[in-house]
Amino acid sequence: MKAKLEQQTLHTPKRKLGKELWRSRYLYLLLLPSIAMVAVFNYAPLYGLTLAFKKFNAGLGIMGSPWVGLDVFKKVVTDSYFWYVFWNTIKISLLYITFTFPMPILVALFFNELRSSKLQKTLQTVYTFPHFLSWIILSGIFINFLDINGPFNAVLSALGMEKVLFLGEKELFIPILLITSIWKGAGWGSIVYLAAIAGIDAELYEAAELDGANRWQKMFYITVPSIATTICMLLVLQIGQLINSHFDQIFNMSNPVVAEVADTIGVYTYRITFQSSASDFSFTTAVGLFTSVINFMLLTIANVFSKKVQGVGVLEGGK
Amino acid sequence: MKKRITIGDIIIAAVMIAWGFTIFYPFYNTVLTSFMTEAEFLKNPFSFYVKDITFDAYKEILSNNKIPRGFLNSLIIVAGYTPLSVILVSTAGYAMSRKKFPLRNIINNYFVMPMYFSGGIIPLYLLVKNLGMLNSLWPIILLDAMNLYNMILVKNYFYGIPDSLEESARIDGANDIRICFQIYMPLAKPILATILLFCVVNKWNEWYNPLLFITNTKQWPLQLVLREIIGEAAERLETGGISEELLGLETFSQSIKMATVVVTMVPIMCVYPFLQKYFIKGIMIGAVKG
Repeated sequence: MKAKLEQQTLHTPKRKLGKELWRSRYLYLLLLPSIAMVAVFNYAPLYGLTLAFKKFNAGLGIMGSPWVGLDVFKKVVTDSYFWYVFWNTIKISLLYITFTFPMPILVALFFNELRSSKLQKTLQTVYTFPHFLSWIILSGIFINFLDINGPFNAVLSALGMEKVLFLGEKELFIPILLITSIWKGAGWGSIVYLAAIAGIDAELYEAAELDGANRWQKMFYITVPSIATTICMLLVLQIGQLINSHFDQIFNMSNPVVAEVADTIGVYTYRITFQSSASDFSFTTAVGLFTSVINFMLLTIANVFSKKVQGVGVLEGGK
Repeated sequence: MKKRITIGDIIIAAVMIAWGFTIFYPFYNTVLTSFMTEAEFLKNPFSFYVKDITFDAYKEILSNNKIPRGFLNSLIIVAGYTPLSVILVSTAGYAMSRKKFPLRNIINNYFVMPMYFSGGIIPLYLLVKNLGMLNSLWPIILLDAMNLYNMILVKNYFYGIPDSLEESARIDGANDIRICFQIYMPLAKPILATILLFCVVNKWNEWYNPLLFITNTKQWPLQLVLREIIGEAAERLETGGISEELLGLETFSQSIKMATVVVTMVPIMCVYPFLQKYFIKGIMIGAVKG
């Protein structure tokens, strides 16, 4: 009797789990296609990372290629151009954060001050439109617009200034990247802040008005502090993006004359893999792995900050 | 209490309108250029109307089958990807929004991990090659069909739907598949519409994966065709000036480029009103919640 009882208690958890698994069978069925897709397209490629420790031979494939240990990494780490590109990437990302990050906040603050909702609606339509276009389209537009015979230079020469070959000057390339990035993204970026502003208690403004606060005082002492959490959150997200940001833009706006100035890891990896005659898959995989690891660390740091600021991880999206 | 319009209001409105103009004008100029003759463009590139409208550029890009073919390829990609992605994302989103079932945490981590760490382009390229999908539209349609970010958006939306609905459906004998498709998905129309539009826009704009996986230009989506046409222009920068060099071409090449840009933009412009209707909701759910 006692033994039987013991056996039962031993088996219950197992049977219970089995029962729950069975009860959730339709959930698993719903998940199955997604799990399979992620397995094939997100997890299977991870196997290819072994290439970073092998000498790739196309004839032998990934599996057959001989192991070489850390040789490939040594080659990457001692490659001076790799380090140039690496620091250049970080430098450019920091420039982006410094100059483009504050713009959506300014747009949102000013936008919020507009009195006519009709004007707000029209302007928002215009502001957010470029966000939905690819950098290929936008680079086409800008190459035309900034051409030596293009509209912008026509304005300059009408104002008595000299014409400039905008996309053919090394010193001008990064400023142009930053400005066009603001042009494309500031309007879209402002929506998040506008959503945060919409959530501010109107009584705060009324109280401030009674105390005689003017527009700017209300902006700086009520609106800005109220959206500070949102600002922090988005800044943290930027840190997570430090390495692979703005690839689309740089890749498409760039041309051989200015390419060197804005050579970032993404562009560099593409170039040495698909455009160089002596492409070395092992080397490129090692570069990719190196950046993936750094990305992972940055995202983890961002996640920790995000949990502190908002109580939610960067990528989990709550709950 | 209606306040009087002050000078500050006017200055702010003026600044915002000026900023709107700097965004609007390059697009407007692009459309104008596509209808211009070369002589007119060179004479007055910064204009607000076209004196001498010509449709040569459009005639030329329609007669050269590169662009219609690219357009078709892009349409196939969007039409294949969007339904697939919406179904994958919403079924997984529904399942992950259930609070308790065995293995939930493990599966959740399984989905979150790839967002932190990816293999990079070479392993992906070799995978696609080994699957025999190089030079086809398949990798463009299948890769990223299970979009993890969109899945999280849907999951959060489903999470907000009261459990009592699920429970009463269960009492009536419905299983999870029916609950997902017949009860939850109809209730989640706003978020599903947002995601559907994001899918359309993202795939229409996609160029990097096609660039990696498709070397046969006949399979290229429109974005890559456009890129090639613009690229010719970018290379000419080395010698300075684009337009002068192209004198003597039958059709003014700048207008051909801009006509191609316009053709590539048109589908986005068509879905833009719907996007506008939904995106604010979408970005609020996505970004404010983290």
